[in-house]
Amino acid sequence: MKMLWALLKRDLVLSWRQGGGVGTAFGFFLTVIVLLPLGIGPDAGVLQRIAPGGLWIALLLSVLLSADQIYSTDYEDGSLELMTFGAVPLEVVSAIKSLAHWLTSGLPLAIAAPLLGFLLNLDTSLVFPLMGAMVLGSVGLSFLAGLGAAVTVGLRRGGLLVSLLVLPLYVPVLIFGISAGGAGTAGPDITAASFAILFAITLVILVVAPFGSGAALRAYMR
Amino acid sequence: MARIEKFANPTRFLRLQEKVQPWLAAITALLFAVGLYYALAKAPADYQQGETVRIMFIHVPAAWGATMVYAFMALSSAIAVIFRHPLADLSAKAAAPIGAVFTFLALVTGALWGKPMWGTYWVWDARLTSFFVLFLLYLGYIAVWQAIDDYHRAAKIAAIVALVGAVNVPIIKFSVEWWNSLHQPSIMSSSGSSVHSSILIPLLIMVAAYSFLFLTLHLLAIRSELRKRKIHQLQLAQAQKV
Amino acid sequence: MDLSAKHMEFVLACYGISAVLLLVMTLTIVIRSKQHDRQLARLEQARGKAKK
Repeated sequence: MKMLWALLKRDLVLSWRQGGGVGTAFGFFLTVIVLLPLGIGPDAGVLQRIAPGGLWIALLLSVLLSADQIYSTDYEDGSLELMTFGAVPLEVVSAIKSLAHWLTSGLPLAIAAPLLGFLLNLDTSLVFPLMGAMVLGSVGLSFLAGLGAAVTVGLRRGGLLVSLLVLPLYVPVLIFGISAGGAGTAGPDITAASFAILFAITLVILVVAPFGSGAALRAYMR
Repeated sequence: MARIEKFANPTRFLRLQEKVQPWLAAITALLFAVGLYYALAKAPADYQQGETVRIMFIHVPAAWGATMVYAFMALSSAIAVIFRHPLADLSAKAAAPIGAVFTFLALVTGALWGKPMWGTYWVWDARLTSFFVLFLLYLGYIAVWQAIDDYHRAAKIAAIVALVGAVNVPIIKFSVEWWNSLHQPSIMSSSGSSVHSSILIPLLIMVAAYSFLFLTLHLLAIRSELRKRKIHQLQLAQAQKV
Repeated sequence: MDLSAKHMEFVLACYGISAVLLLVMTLTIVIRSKQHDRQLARLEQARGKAKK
C-alpha cells in the first residue's frame, strides 16, 4: 500500500514539476472552445444547443492529447523497465499512473469545463449536472487514454495512432455522459439511468484498461 | 491441445491449404453464381420497396461478414494470447483487411439504400453509426500492424487492441442504440416484418457466398503472410552471411 | 428484374461497387500470394546453389 502511495505521489509531483500537463491541456481545451463558435457562428441559440456536446468533445480531446506523457518519459529514461522488475505488477502501475493522470488533467478539466460553459451560452441549470457527469466520465477517459498511451509507448509517431485507437472507444462515455448531464429533451429518470450506465461503463473501463496497458507495456519491455 | 498443435505446424497448414484451395474457390464461385441468379432474377420486387429490396442481398451479407470477421479476429487474438499459437497472430492479421472491406461495403450499400428510402444518403441511424465505429476499429487494428516493425511486438499489441475492441463492440452498439432512441423516437426497422422465403433463400445463399469468400481469401492471405515471414528470415540470414 | 424501375440506379450502383471492391480485394490477395511464392522459390534456389 505504501509503495502504491509512493508511486502515485511520484507521478503527481513529476507532472506538477514538469509543467505542460494541466496547463497545456487547459490551453488546448480553451482553443477548441474558441474555435467552435468561429466554425459554427455566434448565434446564441445554436450555441446553447450544442454547448454540452461541444464541451464534452473538447474535454475528451484534451484528455486524450495529454495522455502520451503518462509513460513516455518513464519509458525513455528506463524507469519503466525498472518497474517491470519491481514488486508491484505492471497492471497496478498503469492503474496508478492513469489515476495520477486523471487527478492532474481529467479532474481539473472536468470541473473547469462546465464553468467555462458560459462562453458557449450553456444553460446555467445544466452546469452542475454536467460537472457531475464529466467528473465521473473523465475517469474512464483518463484510463482509456492511458491504455492508448501504453499501446503506443515505444512508437516514434504514436500520436495519430492513439487518436484512431482511443476515440472510437470514447463513444459510450460520450453518449452516456451527454445524457447523464441532463442535456437534450430527456426527463429526469433517463438522466438518472444514464448516470448509472455511465458508472457501469466506467467500472468496465477500470477493469479492462489496466490489464491491457500492463500487457502492452510488457510487450514493449522485451 | 494436441489437435490445435497439429494445425499450428506451418508446413502442415501450407499443405492443407494447397489441397483445399481449389475446392473452396469453386464453392465460392458456385454460391455467388446461384445467389446472384436468385437475387437478381428470381426474387420478386418488394411491393413497398420495389427493386431496391435487391440491395439487401448484398448489404446484409456484407454486414454479417463485417461482424463475423471481427468476432473471428478477436477469437484468433485470444488464442494467440492464451495458447501462443503461432498461426493465430497471422490469422487475425490476415482477417482484418477483409473485414474492413466488408464493413466498408455494408456502409456504402446501406447509404445507397438509404437515399431512395429515407431521402438522404446518410442518416445517423443506430446501425449505420455502429458500423461506422466498427470500421474505425478495423482501421486502428490495421494501423497497429503497420506502425510497429518488430513482428512479435506488433502481434502482441495488435492482439490487445483487438481484444479491447471486442469488449467494447457490444457496449458501443448498446450506447449508439440508446443515443438513437433518444433522438429519434420512431425507429424504423426492417427486421420486424416476417421475411418471405423468396427473399430468405437468396439471402442465405449470399451470406454463405460471402462467408466462403472470406474463408478462401483468409487462408490464402495466411499463406501469403507465412511466405513473407520466411522470405524475411532468409534475407536476414543472407545479409548476415555477407 | 425490371431495369427501368424506379431507383434502379441505386441497386446497380450497390452491385457495381460491391463487385469491384470484392474483385480488387481477391486479386490483391491472389497476386500478393503468387509474388511471395515466386520470391521464396527464387531465394531457396539461390541458397541451394550456394550450398553446393
